[in-house]
Amino acid sequence: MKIVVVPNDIKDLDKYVSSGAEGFILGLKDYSVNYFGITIEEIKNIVEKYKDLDIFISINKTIFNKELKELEEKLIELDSIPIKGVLFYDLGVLSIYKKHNFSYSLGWHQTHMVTNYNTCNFYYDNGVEYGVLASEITKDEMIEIKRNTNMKLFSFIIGHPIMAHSKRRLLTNYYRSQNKEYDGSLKSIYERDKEYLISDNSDGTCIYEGDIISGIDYLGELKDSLIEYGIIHGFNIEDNLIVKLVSLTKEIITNNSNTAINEIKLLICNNTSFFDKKTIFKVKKDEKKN
Amino acid sequence: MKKRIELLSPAGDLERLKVTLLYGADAVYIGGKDYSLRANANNFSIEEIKEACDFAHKLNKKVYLTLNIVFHNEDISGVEDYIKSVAECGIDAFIVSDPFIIRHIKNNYPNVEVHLSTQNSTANIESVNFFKEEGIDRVVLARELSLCEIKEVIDNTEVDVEIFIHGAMCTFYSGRCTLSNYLTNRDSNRGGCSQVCRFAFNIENEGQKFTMATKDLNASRYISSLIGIGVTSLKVEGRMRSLYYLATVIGCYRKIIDAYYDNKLTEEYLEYQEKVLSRVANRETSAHYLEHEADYKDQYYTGRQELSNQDFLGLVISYDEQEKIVTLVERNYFEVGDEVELFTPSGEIYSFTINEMYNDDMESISVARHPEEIIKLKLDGNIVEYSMLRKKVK
Repeated sequence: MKIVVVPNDIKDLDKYVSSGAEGFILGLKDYSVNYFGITIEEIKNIVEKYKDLDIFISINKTIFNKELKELEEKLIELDSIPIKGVLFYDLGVLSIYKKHNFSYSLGWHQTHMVTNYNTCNFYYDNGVEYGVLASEITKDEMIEIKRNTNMKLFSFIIGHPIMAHSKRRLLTNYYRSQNKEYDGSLKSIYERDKEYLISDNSDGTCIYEGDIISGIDYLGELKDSLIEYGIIHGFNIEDNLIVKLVSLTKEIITNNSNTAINEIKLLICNNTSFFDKKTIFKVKKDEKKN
Repeated sequence: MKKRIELLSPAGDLERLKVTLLYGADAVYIGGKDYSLRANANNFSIEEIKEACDFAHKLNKKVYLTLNIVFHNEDISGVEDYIKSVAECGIDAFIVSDPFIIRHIKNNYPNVEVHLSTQNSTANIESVNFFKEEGIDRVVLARELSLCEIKEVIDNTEVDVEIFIHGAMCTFYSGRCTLSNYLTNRDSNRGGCSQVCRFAFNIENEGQKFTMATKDLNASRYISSLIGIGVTSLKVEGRMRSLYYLATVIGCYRKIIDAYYDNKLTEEYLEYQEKVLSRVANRETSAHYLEHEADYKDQYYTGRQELSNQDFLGLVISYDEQEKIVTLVERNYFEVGDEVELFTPSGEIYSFTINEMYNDDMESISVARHPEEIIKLKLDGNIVEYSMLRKKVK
């Protein structure tokens, strides 16, 4: 399993590489949600500099008609850069991809929908080589998917997973309703004292889990199942901490180090999220009343 | 000649299905016991799906089944058998979200349509064309599109387009929200949504609660435009809504659509229908993205959003044509002297003041105060079962 990092900025990539990162997922400016967006030129420079690393570009916003022409141009421009692949949300990307003979691969990155092997196989048959597993399924489900598909998979191991994305500018609207102006910063909201993070920009609003979730306890099993990539998503994590997490995660992957597992547990809270917890969807009558 | 636009209604059970078809829906979408995004609605057994299809087909109407969960591995086993059972009931279309099912249905049941659920938030021409290649017959477009964007999709694809016109809205892109999973462990993409977007949150450094709930959708003013640009189907939200709600909303949209085709859709007529619609609304409404980017006016900023509604007074269960006596089941308090109106599935409205009423034993009473109580009224008209009594719309 390779560690890929989602950076908050591109100035410190060297540090991540030195600590064990073997790839990056980068956002494309104006086309990425919850990824740090950079220009094609910047992507070119990074790929040039880190030739041996696996560089993926996340184009994961919902696309509207007026953006299609420019999107196609961007996808064509990316073909001149030896990136490993483009991770997409909107099927418009796949449709455009099929019209061209691009040299890079595609990755299915419909955030909450990569939840079963049949659909992985559906996209694989459509020429999609990679898939980014949803953060809302269990470790066992991830392993079962891997067993039943040839798709190369990413698993989100550490970070604040995105929980929801809206086209609405919820913070801007909220402050406007009070005759105030939203200052553009990341905010904390609380439900029963549990913290969640929210931000809003011209692409709409994103809400994130307030805890840094950790799949570190399950990393060994995920690695043994031959899932290809583990993601460390740097959103809202201080830079030095990302470096430490990358280094310790690398240590776990390479040497099955229990010491490194325990060290990570000391650095971040041990919220294992859905790795070991199944969601329910049919509520018993007595539960409904509560 | 261009096909008339379809009015598509939800139905949570057989009775609602029958009522909404009688009140003017051209087609109904329902959920089965599994694989639907309203896992906690009553939903339909295979036998009920068969009965629903038979009932609808006799009226030359259609039934669609939602199969629109985002599948997990454990949901895969059994789905093909389930599809077979439902197809054998005579279902007209499956509404799907997970694309692996599309080919299976098209390969095995070529006469059954496949509609792409709004859960996919399909928002552009290229995306629609991708699904067309996969065999999709109809796309329920994302609710974030403007009229202009909808038209562009229709003009540039050969797929039927369905648009939501009325009911509750998701705050987030459909399919891109798992708040319910994280806050309540209920899987929103498998039918367990606990509507966390209607919760009130505390927000840092602010005294007032942070809410993100949206007002409901009401596109009654845009029906002419939606017909004009070539939309195939107009969809009303709400598989868990009441009989009264469905009868009223579907009845109103039926009248608006028919008036459009008959060149009788005047401003005055539309205003009256809007007034009727507003009487069953339990939230404020907006046209949301149809006319502009949704903004602060399309949301709520206080904790309380639901309004209770006591307009629905009774459901007609029989009519004695000889004695001219209506028998109804009471739903909300009413009394002698109240101004009411009785509306029928065919659209007739009888406005009157209650001068006398009776209990089940034909004893005169002055007040109907017990829900489910049998009440009788004298009224001459073309009244049938499933007509409804409501407070007069003024």
